[in-house]
Amino acid sequence: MKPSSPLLMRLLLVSGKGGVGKTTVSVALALAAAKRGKRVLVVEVSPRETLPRLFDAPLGGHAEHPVAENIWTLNLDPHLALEEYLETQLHVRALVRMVTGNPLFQRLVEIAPGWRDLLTLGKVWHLERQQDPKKGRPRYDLIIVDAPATGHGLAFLRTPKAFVEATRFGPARTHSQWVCDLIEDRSRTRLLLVTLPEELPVNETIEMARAAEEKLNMSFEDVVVNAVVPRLFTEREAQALASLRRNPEVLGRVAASMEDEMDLADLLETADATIGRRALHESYIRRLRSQVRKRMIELPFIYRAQLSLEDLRGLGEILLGQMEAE
Amino acid sequence: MTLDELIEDRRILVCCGSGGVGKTTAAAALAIRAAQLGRRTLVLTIDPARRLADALGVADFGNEVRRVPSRKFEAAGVPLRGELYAMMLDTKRTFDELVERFAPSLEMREAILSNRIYQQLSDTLAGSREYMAMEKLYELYAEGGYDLIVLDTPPTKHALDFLDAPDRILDFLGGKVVHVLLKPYLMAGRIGFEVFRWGASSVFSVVEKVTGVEFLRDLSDFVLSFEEMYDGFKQRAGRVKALLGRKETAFLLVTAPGKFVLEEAIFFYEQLVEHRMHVEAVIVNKVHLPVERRERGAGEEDLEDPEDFLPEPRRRALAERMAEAAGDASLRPALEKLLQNFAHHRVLAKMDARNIQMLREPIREGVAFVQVPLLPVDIHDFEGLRRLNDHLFRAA
Repeated sequence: MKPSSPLLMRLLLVSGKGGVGKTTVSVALALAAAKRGKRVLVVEVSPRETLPRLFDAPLGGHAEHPVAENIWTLNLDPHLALEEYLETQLHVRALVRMVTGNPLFQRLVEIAPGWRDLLTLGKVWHLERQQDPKKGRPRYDLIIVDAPATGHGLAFLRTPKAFVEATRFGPARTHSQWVCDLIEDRSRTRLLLVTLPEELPVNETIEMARAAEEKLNMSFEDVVVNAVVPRLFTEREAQALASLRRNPEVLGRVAASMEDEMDLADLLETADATIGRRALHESYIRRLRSQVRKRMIELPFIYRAQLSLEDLRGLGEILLGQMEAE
Repeated sequence: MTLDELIEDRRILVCCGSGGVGKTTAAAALAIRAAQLGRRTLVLTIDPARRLADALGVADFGNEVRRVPSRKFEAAGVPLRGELYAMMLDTKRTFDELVERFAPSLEMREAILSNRIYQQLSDTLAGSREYMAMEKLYELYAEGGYDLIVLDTPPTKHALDFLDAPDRILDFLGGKVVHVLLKPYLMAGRIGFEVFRWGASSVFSVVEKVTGVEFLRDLSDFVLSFEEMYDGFKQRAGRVKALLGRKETAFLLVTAPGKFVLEEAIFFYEQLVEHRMHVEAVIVNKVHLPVERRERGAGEEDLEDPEDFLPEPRRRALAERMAEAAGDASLRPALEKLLQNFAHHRVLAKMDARNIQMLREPIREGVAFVQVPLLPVDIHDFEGLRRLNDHLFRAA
């Protein structure tokens, strides 16, 4: 296996703005890893569980849940993670219930900043330590976290460190430090940023990449640019079409030869739109490359209403292939 | 009501919706149109892309109202009858200004502004961006001076975040929760004695045990100093909320055709209606609109895969026939791609139409419903905003 392979990691944190395709990238990578015999857990943090749906599996909620060969999913619920955490601290279930059932506590939890992120990462830390007692090895070879889109860039990943800095002692400080240690361990954890070739996502990714370099002490090698419109015509094809369009007489003959339900002018108009989108995407990727000195992995836009598992497998092979390239 | 009528008729337009759907550009475009029609307009934006902020001339002026120079209109060939102002909201600074406004003394003001917990909270507390957006809106409205204010809201999952955020935050800062939790610390700073309830004290001891005590001490300092300002803040938040529910305020829901985003938009819409806000328009951006030079065959409603529209053998045969008609066999690969691209577009257009239909159903009649096609260029300058307006106001 190549030394740069993400399959050598324990934890991949897939981050980016909402709607850029973090889930697609997480699942695609999981499929590629599972195909190579890795046991993979994919974690999402979502009010509407989506991962099992992609595998046509029943929903599993806040529990590790097999969805395909070598793949498990978990929809992490920070509230339940908080209960689990309190249980490890208070040791008595009844006491935990008393605390979490208290309306005052609930109000505090509703409003307090950061605890969701902290508990989410704490749970991931805990999952990473799980062992398979029969085989004496970690339960999962790889955990992929489809990070929540917080709207605050990478604040999510900074939370444990911020907590350590803001407090002076207490068990939560110690535990947050453990989480930091995992996140910052370059041999175990890697950050992957996902973006779209559009104005706002690209701007945000440039800022996130900068913040990751400056404020997060973690391994960060790749930016995935998702849903890039593929190039439509080769240079020669474009020229041939251009000369066709300059000749109204020939154009008329071609139009007449078409089936009734299609119109040549429509075809040409949509082609122009695609070429325009492609040029726009290229310009954003250029900008991203000039600002972020990381490997850029482009995933093609797929023209289908719903990505199939087959589509996702294809994307997974592209991802892994490029991430393993020297 | 059409968008133009809304612009003429209302005092406040609130653009809301999920992130990445084009709220900021829609807000800017509406404001330009309003200024063009003769209104003295202010657009309050939250997090504009740098180039858009540059276009409006507010990039380096966080929290300051700037006038957009009329030459920008002239350069884009837009006649200007009114005036356009723009401001980029700075959450932290707005919160600081609010503290300055309500702090009873200079010492108190300094104590709060320099408190570590305040510095954290004012920026990161869940809902503080929404709260400050509403606060700034109220301040600018109350000052008068504008015929119309267009507000671009922060991207939130729930419409409630900006309706409820002020109350939630104030209840937290001034409410029972914090006071009960912090009682021992608060008492250290004040005379008084009260037996606190068993449940509350246990909760408190857990929080203390887990988080470490010093944090709570900082928090109690902050809560104590905030106490005197609480009433002022609370009253004002009540007035902000009332303003949003008035008839002169219209909500515009901005969205895009993705299934997920549209589901959020429906959820948004229902929440707003439930809270008796006046939702008056829905703008769907980035739509793959069908090209309709010719009537299509029926039976395409379920079209999900380009192969179903134009299977490869048919595509091939058709391309061959077209190349033959052109008398140039070498054209075939290009023509085949041309056909395939068209099939792609058909699938996207059908997909968007199906998704948008989902949104259309729950929306009450009389709400303006505008679709803007996916443009081959992004909008980040005046010229682009003007072109966007050609689509937004086409019906008018």
